[in-house]
Amino acid sequence: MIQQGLEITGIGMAYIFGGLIAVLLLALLLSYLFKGVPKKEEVAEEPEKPSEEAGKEGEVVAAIAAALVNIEGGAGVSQPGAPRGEGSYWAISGRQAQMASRSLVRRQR
Amino acid sequence: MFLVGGAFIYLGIKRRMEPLLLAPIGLGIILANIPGAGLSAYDEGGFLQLVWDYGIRTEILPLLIFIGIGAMTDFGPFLGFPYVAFLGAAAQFGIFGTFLVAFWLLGFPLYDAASVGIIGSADGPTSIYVATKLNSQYVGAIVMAAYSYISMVPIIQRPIMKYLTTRKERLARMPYSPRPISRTTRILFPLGAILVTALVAPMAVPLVGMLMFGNLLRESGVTERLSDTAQNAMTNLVTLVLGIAVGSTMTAEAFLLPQTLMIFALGLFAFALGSATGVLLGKLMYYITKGKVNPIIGACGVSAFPMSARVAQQVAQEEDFSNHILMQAMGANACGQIASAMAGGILLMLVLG
Repeated sequence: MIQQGLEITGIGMAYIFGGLIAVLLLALLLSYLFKGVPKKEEVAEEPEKPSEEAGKEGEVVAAIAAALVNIEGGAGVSQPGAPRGEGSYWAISGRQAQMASRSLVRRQR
Repeated sequence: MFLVGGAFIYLGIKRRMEPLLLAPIGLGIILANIPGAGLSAYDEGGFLQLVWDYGIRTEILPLLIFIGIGAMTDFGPFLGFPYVAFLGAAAQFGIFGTFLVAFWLLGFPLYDAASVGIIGSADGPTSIYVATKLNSQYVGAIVMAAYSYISMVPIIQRPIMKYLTTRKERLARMPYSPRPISRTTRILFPLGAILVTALVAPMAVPLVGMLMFGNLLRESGVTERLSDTAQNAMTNLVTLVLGIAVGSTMTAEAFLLPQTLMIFALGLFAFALGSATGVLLGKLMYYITKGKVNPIIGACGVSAFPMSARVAQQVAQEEDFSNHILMQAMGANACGQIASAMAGGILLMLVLG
């Protein structure tokens, strides 16, 4: 009984490994004989380098946004003597720094 | 038995554990146990007896399911990284190891021991095919155990992947550079796999042949209607009938036996053993390749497609979120489909002589 069980187990596993090694060789052979051609969309396109104009555009956008923030939040922060609005100095300078960093990120891309 | 049937319906519907199978099986159990209804698989001339005799005993329904599985399976990840075939082979030790335990240590008759062992394939149709071919008296319990454990892959495999590997091994990266697979390769692979199976284990040809037939429909690119039908309408219809027919075999006299509990325990052992041997071979490959194989994909050598691969990916990402091993795990899992069908045929060949 033990011998029969061990025989079936041993021979069975040997068959399995043999069969799957044959399947592995088949897969390798087919891949070697019939090489696939990469599809066009699979070829990785190089990311577009940011042009000078794009960088400038970003700066312009950042500048306009910062100006708008200044106007909405009380323009006088950077102008000594002007009345202060709702936006505090820290809020506005923080927003400006944020805008500047965004344009920087864009430029880095 | 009504409680057992109700429990399966609950697990299927409420817990979403293989609902497409557990819900029909649960209802089949209830119908089979209504006195006087004549709906069990043992009631001569009853509807479910006819389905059982003509659909399952003749092995038609499990083989039709295999066509559907083949049509759903993309062997591309396997063809891109075919070395995972070793993992698929190692994971089949769950079948043979459990057979040995059931036959030698627990004294199951030869055919029943082989039928119990096949639960380790983690493949429902293979379990049905082998158990009915061997005319096992425990077909219902075996099929229930197989489908229950397939639905519990995340619970069973996760701790095995974790406890059998070190953190360093789980962190192993497997850079995936997909080689383009030509259409010719995709079409010739199923045909070649049938030929290989015919040479190694002719009794596995019905299973592997139907699997590869479905895959050929998928990959040929000119039989979309057939492929679509195999994947959806046919598989759904067969699953519907299969589930209720399997449930109809589980009458109180056939199910409420001490052996049923033993079969469930052995099924769990088979599943865990298969996953563990896959991981252990993965560890060996890790050391041979100097860290280029993440051993947790070894557990995907069983046939629970694609759940097993998903669990492997989750376990890898728990250690390092940027580690992606899904495609290699899918490759091992797709190979597990071929391996389990082949193992079923080899087991039949060796047991039936």
